[in-house]
Amino acid sequence: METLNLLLQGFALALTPANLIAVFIGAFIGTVIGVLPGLGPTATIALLLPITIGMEMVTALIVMAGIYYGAMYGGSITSILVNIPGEAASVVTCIDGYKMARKGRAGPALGMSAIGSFIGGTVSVVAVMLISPFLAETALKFGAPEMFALLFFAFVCIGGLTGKSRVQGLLMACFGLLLGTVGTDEIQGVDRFIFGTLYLQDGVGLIPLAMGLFGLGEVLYNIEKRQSVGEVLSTPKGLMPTLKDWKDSAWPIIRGSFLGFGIGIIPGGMPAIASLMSYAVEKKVSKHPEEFGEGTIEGVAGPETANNAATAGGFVPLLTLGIPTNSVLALILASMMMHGVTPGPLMLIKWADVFWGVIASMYIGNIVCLILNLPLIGLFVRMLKVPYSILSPLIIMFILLGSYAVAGNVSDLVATLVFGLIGYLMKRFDIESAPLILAFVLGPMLENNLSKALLMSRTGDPLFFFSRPISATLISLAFVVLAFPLLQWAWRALVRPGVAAIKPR
Amino acid sequence: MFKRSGLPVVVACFALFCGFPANAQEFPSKPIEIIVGFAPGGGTDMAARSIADVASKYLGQPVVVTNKPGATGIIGAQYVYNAKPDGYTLLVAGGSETVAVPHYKKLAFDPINDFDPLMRIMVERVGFYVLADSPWKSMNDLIAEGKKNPGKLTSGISGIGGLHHATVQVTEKKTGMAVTLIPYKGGAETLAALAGGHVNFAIASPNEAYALVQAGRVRCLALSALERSPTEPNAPTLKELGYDVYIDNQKGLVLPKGVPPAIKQKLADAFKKAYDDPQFKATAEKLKLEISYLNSEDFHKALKAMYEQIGESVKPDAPKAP
Amino acid sequence: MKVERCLGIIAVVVATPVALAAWRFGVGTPRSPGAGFWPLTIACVMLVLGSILVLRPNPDERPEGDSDSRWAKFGISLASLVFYIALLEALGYLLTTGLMLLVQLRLVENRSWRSSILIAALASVISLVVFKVLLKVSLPLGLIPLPPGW
Repeated sequence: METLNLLLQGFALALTPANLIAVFIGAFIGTVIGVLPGLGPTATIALLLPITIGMEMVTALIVMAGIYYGAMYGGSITSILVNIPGEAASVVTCIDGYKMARKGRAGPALGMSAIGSFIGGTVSVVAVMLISPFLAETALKFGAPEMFALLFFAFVCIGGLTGKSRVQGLLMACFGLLLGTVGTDEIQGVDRFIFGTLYLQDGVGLIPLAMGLFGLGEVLYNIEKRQSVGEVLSTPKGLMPTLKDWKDSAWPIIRGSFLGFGIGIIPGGMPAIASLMSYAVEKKVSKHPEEFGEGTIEGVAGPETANNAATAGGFVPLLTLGIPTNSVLALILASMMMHGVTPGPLMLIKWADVFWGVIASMYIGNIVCLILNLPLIGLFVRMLKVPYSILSPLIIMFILLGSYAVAGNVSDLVATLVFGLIGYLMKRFDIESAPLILAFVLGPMLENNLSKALLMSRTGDPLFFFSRPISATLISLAFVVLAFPLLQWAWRALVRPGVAAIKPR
Repeated sequence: MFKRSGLPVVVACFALFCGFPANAQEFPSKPIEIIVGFAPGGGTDMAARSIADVASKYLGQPVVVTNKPGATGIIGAQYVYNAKPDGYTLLVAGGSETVAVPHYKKLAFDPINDFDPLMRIMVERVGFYVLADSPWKSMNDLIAEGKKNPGKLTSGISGIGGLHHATVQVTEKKTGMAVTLIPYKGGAETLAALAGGHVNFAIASPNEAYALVQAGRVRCLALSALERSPTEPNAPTLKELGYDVYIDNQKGLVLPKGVPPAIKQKLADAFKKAYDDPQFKATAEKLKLEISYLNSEDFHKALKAMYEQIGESVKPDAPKAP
Repeated sequence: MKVERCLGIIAVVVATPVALAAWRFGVGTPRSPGAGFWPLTIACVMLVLGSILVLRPNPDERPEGDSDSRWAKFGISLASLVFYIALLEALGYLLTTGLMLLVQLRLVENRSWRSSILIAALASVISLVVFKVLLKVSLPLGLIPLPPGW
């Protein structure tokens, strides 16, 4: 009851004209920068910081939060229509979203990702509201052993993420893992595979890799093989998903909401990881995993829900512990400090009005985003809807601009070009890129947390992972998933022939 | 990879064709760029942004902050090292990239002598933090434990080969304790690991730890500063405790070597005025930045001293900076 | 050349030096795995997978239809990207982008000179204004400075 009262007060604050305008502006800017590849929420919020200082505290927070979740909505549009991730968290949406668009199902893909984002965002805000302080404590329990167990579980799930050829898929995952080891090792400080360059010390960038592999590779392929004129951007006709789409997406959206929220509250859990994990989970639990990568709606609905749920989830550790889990939240923290507000356990006591005002604004903001991304989607699609002979050069321009703008470094452009060539070759020879990019993102985290956990164990005994409840549960689950096909096989190989042998008698 | 210097002929031709002579009277005739070698949102970035806004008032040109993150600040430093010394490109330096990284990595430049310090703006203290209910009540308790059971204590640090890494190593050398380092990505993750009880103690800056300290979750055992900090008034310095450790994360502006003295003077005056401006002071206050001015010469001396002190502990046989 | 077998050879060729380099990084101990432990593991798996691809009989390979390849356009397009990267910081965003777009529109996409020049000029100016001026993204200006007051 008290929560409801506080929330109503929050709505009273969020519905003042100034704050209402702030919600609209935040959601709109967020969607736009989400659509534009390369320009993400971090850069945008950094640029807007000086402006937010002049605003009321609540208003500033509302705008920044709006940009953050708005970007998650907008990112999927570019991924689905152009096969370039508009935002890092939408990388995985390229895989199935773009395939759907090519099959003329861009509408349902866009519609479902907006709806999924809305549900994920809203569920997550409800969770933030109801159980913030409690959950923040649980999230802190995630140390290196737990993170390792979680990632190990994710990897086991991804294991089935290969299409036609299992060996080939695993090999691509290995290439991804190998790319992930480039740069200064985070535990020992040893430079690995940097070929004497400063640039590679931080490893291969996700943006050049994703832009090259998905975006530039696709464009180069179309230049060489011009067979898909007009196909790249079929105008979405009717955004409403079919009844079957709804049925297929229901569980991915529900799972994505909770998975995304869970990842979002863990230190180091970014929306990009939430969407990758969701994709892996959906593929694993799906009854028809072979359709993933061929344009299945579950591969869009789950990840797009999860990344939005993760954005809201990230506000839990930020507001209740003062711990930003990624760079966007670090900027929001800086802005709050500038206004003299210190997020932390005291936030709910000392600045309760700010907290509830922001929460209320997130409900409104998700509705605004839904409106921007469903009825008004044409506005953003028009940004991408021009004849292919004009669009292709413009896409190249945006890829180059986006890759450069992230860090103002020409080396990123070189990397994008190199990965573009690789992406082109993979596309031409029909090799899947999904295992590569997933392994690339998750691999370094797996290695890092394994090393840290072993350092903490003091003995290096692998049984250490079973001495802690969360990691023990997750690792056991992973082994169950691993063992499942084995049991299935054993059943088929040993029991069934026996049964079959008995039956004829 | 491709660099400006890879195209000297083209650049030279165009510079001749339409270059503007660097003239101290007309300086500045275009926007001035401050390079920050770290991502937006950190202390370095906030310091640069808050002084840039004010400084443009005194310079009559926009002062733009550009983030060139990467390799613990080295990518940004390298960029400024290669920039034309015309006073239009400045770097925020004095922390990891200047005094710590060169002891762990071979660099293409000398971070102490290849730059011309303009002024110090602020210092970020480096503190030793433990959980509020930790069995170690004081820094001496912690040091005693680290000596009794070498390698048993785990220490969360942000990044390998940076200033916090160096702080632990210098402290180990000067106190005789031995700990196991667990590197995290950035201050926030380090503090989250401490708050979750995954490490025994963590190295962090007081402004990063502020929220958790206020909430009574963690406490500061000691700082590696010269004097006590207003943000952590109860934490003694290691010097007070009798250990010869002094490390501050200094943040100041430096120029690439070779900027004409008249232009340097103009910049120094303008940024000093900005530093004294109440608007800057107010922003710094809100962000809990500990502003601390040093002029060009003193800043250079302070950097050199810290560089050498870290070198002695990290690489005892390394040649000293001339 | 069969794709699978080719991929296998690439994997083996990449993995071998990686394994050697990883060994030099140090494999470490169970308590503290060295920087080489993880890459070495990956390289070993790659060697196994690569060998499988090379050695196993390759079944249904698709026939390769190279008839409709447009290698000239592909080459021009690639060259324009290389020039873009090489000249961006020297010439500035506006000129480099304009030139790259012109090449793409005229030579690769076969649009008329008039529309190519128009689109290239418009797109590069508009993107500069939006990103550099409005959104303050750091883009090199190069030879053409912004008009004063911007």
